[in-house]
Amino acid sequence: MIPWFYSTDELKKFQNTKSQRKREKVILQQREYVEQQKKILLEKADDIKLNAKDVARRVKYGDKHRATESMMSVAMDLKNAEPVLSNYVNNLLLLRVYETMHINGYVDPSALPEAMADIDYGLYSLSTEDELRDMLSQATDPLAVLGISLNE
Amino acid sequence: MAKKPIWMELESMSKRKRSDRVLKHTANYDDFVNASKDCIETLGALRKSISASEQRIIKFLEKENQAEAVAEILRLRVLRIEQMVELSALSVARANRFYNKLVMDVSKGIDANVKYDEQSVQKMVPAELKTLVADSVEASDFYDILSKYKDNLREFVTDGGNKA
Repeated sequence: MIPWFYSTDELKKFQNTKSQRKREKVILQQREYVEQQKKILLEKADDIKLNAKDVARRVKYGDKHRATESMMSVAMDLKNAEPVLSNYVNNLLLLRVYETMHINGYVDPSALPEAMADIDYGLYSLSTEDELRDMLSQATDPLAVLGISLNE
Repeated sequence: MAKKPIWMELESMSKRKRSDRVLKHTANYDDFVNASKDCIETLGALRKSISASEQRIIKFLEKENQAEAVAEILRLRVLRIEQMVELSALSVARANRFYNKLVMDVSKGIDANVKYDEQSVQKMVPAELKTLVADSVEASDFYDILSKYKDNLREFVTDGGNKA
């Protein structure tokens, strides 16, 4: 049950933290990480959009060289966003599980009755981090869904 | 050592102890109902943002503005990731909500001399708890629409540097 995610060091540490105040502190810190990472991603999306607009404008006026440069920036920014994106999902998963664990009476999925053993916990049910990465790429990247890779 | 089934554990308690336990689970149940509601509200807002982002991508592609469409894709991925995480968090909250309800219902049944076994308790677990993420992610027909523009997008991504 929840083999990979629930065995991460951060989660084990949080489970062993009994003080409410310490738990809240961890949640606040985690929330901050998530917000910072999201900010980076949105800034990157804005940069990409600016360059994309530039491409459209340059193409319209036949300015091939500059249009190519802007296109390269779009492609580079998209690829550079990948590590932030995968960290963002890990940190967001961690934050949401911390918040849920902080609710009174929370019971860990592995401690729930046997009759509830085959519940689908979505991303928390995946067995490895690689499996998570594959699933996210297949389910969230429109280009990947269409069989288009930025690495081609 | 194998875990004692929940119905067996509740059956072996005194009525008073069981009643105390029900009180505790009732309060927990309410907390998890609220947590599930919060998740559902967040998911509603995300669904709207995802739909708006998808519309923007289609609009860019219709105007043959592939560069801006690809740019919007990053924003869409962030939103889809948030949706999947929220669905996963919802599944954990729902499982806890159901667990508390199960304890409350089985305790009530035991008080009324209902006999439970592993099979009857298993049947009480709603099927919805077992199919959460897969169904919701496949719900959008956006990818079908997008496939119309597949060649244009491929041209941009693989040949981007030379297109202009």
